[in-house]
Amino acid sequence: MFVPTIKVVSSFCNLDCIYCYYKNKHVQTRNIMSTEVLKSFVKRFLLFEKEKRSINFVWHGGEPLTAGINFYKKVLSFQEEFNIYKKNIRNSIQTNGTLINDKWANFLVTNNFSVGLSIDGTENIHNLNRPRKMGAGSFQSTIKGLKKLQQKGKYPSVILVVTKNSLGKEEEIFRFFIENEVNNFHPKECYETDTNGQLLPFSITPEEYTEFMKKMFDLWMEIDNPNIKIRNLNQILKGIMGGTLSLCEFSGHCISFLTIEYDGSIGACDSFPARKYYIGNIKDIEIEDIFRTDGYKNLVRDIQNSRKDCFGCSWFKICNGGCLRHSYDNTKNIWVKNRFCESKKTLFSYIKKRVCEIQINNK
Amino acid sequence: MSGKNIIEKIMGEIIVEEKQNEKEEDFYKDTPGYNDHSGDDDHNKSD
Repeated sequence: MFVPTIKVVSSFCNLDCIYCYYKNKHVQTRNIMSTEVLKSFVKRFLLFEKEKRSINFVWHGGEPLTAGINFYKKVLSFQEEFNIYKKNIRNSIQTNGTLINDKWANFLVTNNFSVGLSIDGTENIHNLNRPRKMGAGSFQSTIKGLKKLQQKGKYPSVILVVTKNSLGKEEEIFRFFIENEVNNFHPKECYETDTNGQLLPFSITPEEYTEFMKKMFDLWMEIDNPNIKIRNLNQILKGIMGGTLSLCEFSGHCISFLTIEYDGSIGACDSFPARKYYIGNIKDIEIEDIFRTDGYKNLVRDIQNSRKDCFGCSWFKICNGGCLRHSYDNTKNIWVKNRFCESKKTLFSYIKKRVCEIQINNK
Repeated sequence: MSGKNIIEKIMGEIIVEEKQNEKEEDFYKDTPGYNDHSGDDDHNKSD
């Protein structure tokens, strides 16, 4: 089963975030997925595996809203036309929110899109991290978009990128989200390097990320509101308590997350080099044939090899090797030990200890 | 001790998911090699 992540406008974006991993890797021209590619893509995925009951289309970018509403109207039209097996279709979109006006909010709410916004915290932090092309901050536009959705009853989840600008401001960030009715957020580490493999100044170390997450965990436990979810901490808790994990970085299902470029090219998760694991083009290849491609087979092989040293680890059931983005050295094009391995173990141990304390004290 | 409500909610979710999993198909089971951590070379056996 695949979760297609669709780069509808390639890496084109109306913002100029300091940490954007597309900055020096892709041409930032606005190439919108053609109707031909969109149609064959939607058709092939919906006709694949008729016994599967659900499919999640993840609309991504760049900034996916720059494709325009008419693009997504075509998406819905094709989904209706080709859903002959009556699958439960979910549309998810990850946006910077700056383009969300009443029209977009109505469209996303009416058509039940699951919306994820990118907000890095308070105005100061967000604007340092996520400026527009001309340098002005994007915070006010993003919050306006958030409020437009919330006014219509849609409460988006949020991804926040944790940079050097976030460190020491855990409580400020946590309170900001609660005050703005963002009850589901996901702090992701900023770990970008230069061409020599050196961490860029705004990046954080694995140890800094763990300290940030420990503080977030304590704030979350302190408020103890079960309606508030810090998504990746929630997954760790769930894993410690024996549950099944679904977030890609914990699930071990990297190979299920395919990237579909605007021109129909299919590749692995964008964390890996696009050409190394090139699978084919959606215009020419049936989904079932993906398994037979060299790109897919090589990816499966390399992922498995990257995890060989993990098999004896007591945390493996929770991390499954972690986000393999951190197991690949882009400067040398080689697989390495996951750079977050030790720091994640520290975080898992900390959370497990806290869970034991909570359970003992509530017996 | 704080955190009790959050942990109870997650425990409840785990129980519900386990019951659902008993009923539903395994979402990923047909994906070749998806969770094959044995380290051997049979990951393409479904091809």
